[in-house]
Amino acid sequence: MNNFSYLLKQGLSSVWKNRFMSFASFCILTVSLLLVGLSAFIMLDCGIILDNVSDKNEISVYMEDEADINHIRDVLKSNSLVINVRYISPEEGLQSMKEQYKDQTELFDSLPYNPVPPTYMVTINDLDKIDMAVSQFQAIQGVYKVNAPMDFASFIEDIRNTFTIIGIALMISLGAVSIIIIANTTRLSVFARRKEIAIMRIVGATNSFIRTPFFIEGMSIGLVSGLMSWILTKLIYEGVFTLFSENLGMWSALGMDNIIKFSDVSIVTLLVYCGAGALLGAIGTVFSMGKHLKI
Amino acid sequence: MPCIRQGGTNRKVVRMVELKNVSVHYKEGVDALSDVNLRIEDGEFVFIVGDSGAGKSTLLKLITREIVPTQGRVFVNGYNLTNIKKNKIPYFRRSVGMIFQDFRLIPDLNVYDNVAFVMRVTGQTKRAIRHRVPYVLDLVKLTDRAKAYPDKLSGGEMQRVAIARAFASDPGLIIADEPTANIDPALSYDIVKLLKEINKCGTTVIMVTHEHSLVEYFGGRIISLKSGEIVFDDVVGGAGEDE
Repeated sequence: MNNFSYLLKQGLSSVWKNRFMSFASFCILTVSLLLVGLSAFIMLDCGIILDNVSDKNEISVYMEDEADINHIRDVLKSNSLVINVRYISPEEGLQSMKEQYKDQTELFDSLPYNPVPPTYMVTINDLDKIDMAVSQFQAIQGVYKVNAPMDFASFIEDIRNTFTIIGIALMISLGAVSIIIIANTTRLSVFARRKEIAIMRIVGATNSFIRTPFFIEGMSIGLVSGLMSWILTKLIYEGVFTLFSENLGMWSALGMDNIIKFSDVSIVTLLVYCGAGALLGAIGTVFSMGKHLKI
Repeated sequence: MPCIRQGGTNRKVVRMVELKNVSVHYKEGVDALSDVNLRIEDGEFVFIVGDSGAGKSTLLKLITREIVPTQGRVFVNGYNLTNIKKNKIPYFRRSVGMIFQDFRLIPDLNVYDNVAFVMRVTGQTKRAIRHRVPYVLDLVKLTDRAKAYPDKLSGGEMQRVAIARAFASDPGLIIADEPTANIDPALSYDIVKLLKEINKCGTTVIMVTHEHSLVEYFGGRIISLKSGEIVFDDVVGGAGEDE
């Protein structure tokens, strides 16, 4: 313990002695963790939205007011793609809209008639054939309009794929940059302390004793960067989340009401950020172990 | 001053340093040492002399396990340095104190901390450090300079700090590589006297020097190297031997 406190002190004092490079490492690492973290949040949220959309993956078949709804139901059920058909009367449809847009109920109450047509919500067994199903349903006599949610789903899917690629690219490139910067910072510390290290070797310090302060230096920069990027992520994410919450009615219709709340994952995020920062710091230190640190 | 030993090193070793048929050939084609046989017993004080290129530095590097011989075997303080495992080298080095002509003090540590540094890196307790460091500083007569930084010390004082540091962890062997080369000649005698004091405490001392006047003054066992070979190894009387 005596030794550890000595090594800890040595490592932390190196951060201060090398403060300009330490600050550069801190900035790079913070930006890296922040960008990768935000990309990860966007990826995860897109996944949740996609799941929501999939849950609501029903095709809405709107019928004309005078249509033979029993006939249309039979035609729909006879289609091999269809696994379930659910009827929503115009009254139920209006009620559901009122619940969805609670803050605008006066608008619905002031309507002279119920504009919601009788609707069948149809679930199909193969999402890849949704275009075919839509055109088949559209062809049924008495069908006014067919709505499939897949345009929105594919838009979200595109966003998720884009951010997955961006996230991975950022993780690799910024991770590499962070490691190089940390390695250079540590290398400067090693160079500045080379005489001390040479004396340590002569008097019988073990390899781990000589190396530990440099690991502490790299890892502490990583930890502080993790903490800072966590604070920035919290501010940015919660800011955007608040923006969504203010327009919750609109977003919930698009399946966005279930996206991750930062407060639910703040501890895990903090641990992941600090852990990733410390790991990058440690890897950078390993790369800086040059000739001065060999017995 | 009475000798206070820490008892941390192996005091049962009789054969402190032994080289058996040791040769060192460098890649550049230089034969630094040729078939050297040498034995230094525990508690001896030995001068090693020789011109530049005689093999003195190579001999010291062998004894501190900075290099391994091309041929032959090296034993120091109970360790077989020819086939010692890498992870054991630090523990071997703790049993040897080194003193250099350029002092090698850490500039941003004061005298006390420079001496305590050796004990810290070898994992000794704060209590042991608090007991030992004042003792060795008193031994080298630097108690009143404990808080001074190296840039405020004279050459002689810096070398005394280096001696205190070498002796701090109570090694079985102290190797002094030309310790008087960078200090005032008048102070050289004090440095050797200090090493003699430490030797009286039971620590084996090997001192490499160019200064024949010192060797003639103090006498004792003298090993002379020339072109990688031992050309003289005997005990001679010194002019100031009894001081």
